[in-house]
Amino acid sequence: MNLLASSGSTVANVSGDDPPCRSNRPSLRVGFESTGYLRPRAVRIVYWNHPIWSGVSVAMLGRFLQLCRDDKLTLLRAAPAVIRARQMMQTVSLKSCLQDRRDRDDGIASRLEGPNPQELRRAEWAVAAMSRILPGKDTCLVRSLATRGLLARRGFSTEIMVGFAKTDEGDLDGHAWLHSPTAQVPSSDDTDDTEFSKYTKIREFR
Amino acid sequence: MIDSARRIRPNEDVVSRRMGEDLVLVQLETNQIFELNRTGARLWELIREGKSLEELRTIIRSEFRVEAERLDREIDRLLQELKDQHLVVDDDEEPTR
Repeated sequence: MNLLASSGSTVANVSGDDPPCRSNRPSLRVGFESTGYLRPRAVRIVYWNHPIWSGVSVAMLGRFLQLCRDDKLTLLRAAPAVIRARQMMQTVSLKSCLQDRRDRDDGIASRLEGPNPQELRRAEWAVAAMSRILPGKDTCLVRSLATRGLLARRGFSTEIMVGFAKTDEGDLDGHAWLHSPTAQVPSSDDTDDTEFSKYTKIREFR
Repeated sequence: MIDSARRIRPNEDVVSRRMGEDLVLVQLETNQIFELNRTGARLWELIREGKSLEELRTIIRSEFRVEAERLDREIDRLLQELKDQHLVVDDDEEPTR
């Protein structure tokens, strides 16, 4: 999942070597004449590539009809959740996306406990399925926002975690995922726990 | 030079986290991500602790071997960059909502 849609590499480079340090106090890593104190960073975010949208096929409709009632309802509710999450990512700030009050206010009654694992799996599955069908960029943050919104409509409270990891090459990887008191929700296409836990959590957003 | 008695504080729309020696800053309103190097990260920590600019300069001077005049110039430049990117605000500024 991508935290921010970005491509390309670091905008500014640190230049200069560390000056020799003559005390055991922290030493400067870059020279004072350098411009590397504050560097804008591009973040590589987790995303899923899908073929260009080709509509809903008869086979897909057939599979849909075979689903149980709860799965059908969740899937149908996931569509507006995904569309809304994608719209938000394009039109408002990360702060507004992550601290979206409507997710909570839409809840029939905010339950103290998080969703049970079955509800989580169903919501995650529905959002992933709709993310593949609907046109638009399918990123971890969009999926997290959509799943949180979907669960909030059922009155379940979850929070979005955002984390970063530095690669060996010095690049920044970003990831977002859902968290609830009952379970963690890495997206279904995610790698194993070890990979998931490599991210340093910067904050959870309720 | 920037007024020494002034205090600045991190913008409330910024989240920060240490990543090794560096520090990652996420500006949630402008959707930008920055990295501070070790020196900048130390400065950020002092800003978070609520130090005045004078205190901040004194501490940095004691920790890094560099001419005072040059140090002040560099600190001012970094502070200005932080302000330009909406990463810090003056302590008397109202928080944005």
